Amino acid sequence: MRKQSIIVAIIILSIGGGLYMFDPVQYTLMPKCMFKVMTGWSCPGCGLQRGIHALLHGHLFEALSYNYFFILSIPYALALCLERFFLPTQVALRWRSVLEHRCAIWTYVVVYFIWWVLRNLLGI
Amino acid sequence: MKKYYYLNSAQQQMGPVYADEFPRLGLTGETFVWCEGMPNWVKANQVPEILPYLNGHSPVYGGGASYGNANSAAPSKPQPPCPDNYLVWSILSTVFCCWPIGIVAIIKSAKVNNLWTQGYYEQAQNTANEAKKWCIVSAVSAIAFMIFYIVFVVALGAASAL
Repeated sequence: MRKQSIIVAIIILSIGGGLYMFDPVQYTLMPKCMFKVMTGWSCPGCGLQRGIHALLHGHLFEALSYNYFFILSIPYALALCLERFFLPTQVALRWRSVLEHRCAIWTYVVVYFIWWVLRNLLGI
Repeated sequence: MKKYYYLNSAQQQMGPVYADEFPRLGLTGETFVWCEGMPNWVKANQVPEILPYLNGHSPVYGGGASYGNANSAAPSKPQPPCPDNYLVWSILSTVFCCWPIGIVAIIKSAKVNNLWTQGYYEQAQNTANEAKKWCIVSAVSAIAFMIFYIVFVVALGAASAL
């Protein structure tokens, strides 16, 4: 097992554990989004903590309702983590050619901005 | 004898080393290697020069010296290994750090592989460094804000309790 993989796994597990135990809505001291605090608008990532909390308690649709961008961002982020830290080289190189293709990255960026505008216009 | 770069178990580029150093480094036929003149990384057991140095090497499979033709079109400058593009960190910073600075990092990351395949090795390295820088800016500013926020909330709580 690679050292880097272990560190990343520990970080993921501790963030997950913390968000499982504490409901971010109830605790004032949970980290807040600086964009939201300063402007009052949601950023494209807002809802992550509530979403993960709901997901870890088995409420899939509630989790999605906090941020519909999760449909794209969470699987993409997980796939990239797998590719960089956990998969054997041979498989990782194959994944990389798809995941890190220009089109994949630009799709993510464009959807990110569309979602940013949409969620603030529609209040979702 | 050529010098080869290789990917270690953490997928980091190492080397360059000579083929006869492969057994000492514990590298196998499955190790990905690259040397000047090759368009892509290939497995060590596909490189005829390395083959004799591999323990219990298996016969060459697939298109053996598939990089052979590329030698005629070899770039004039020596080709360094492709730099890490930090894409995973850029994406994670847009998911976690709640701050759109991460987008700058993603755009930089997206350019790295492309620049490198086009032969702009130096620019690829510079862009990779920029991507890294923006990932750090994004993470540090988010963490700084969280600490600031917690101090603010605690101070406010203390003030209202008085």
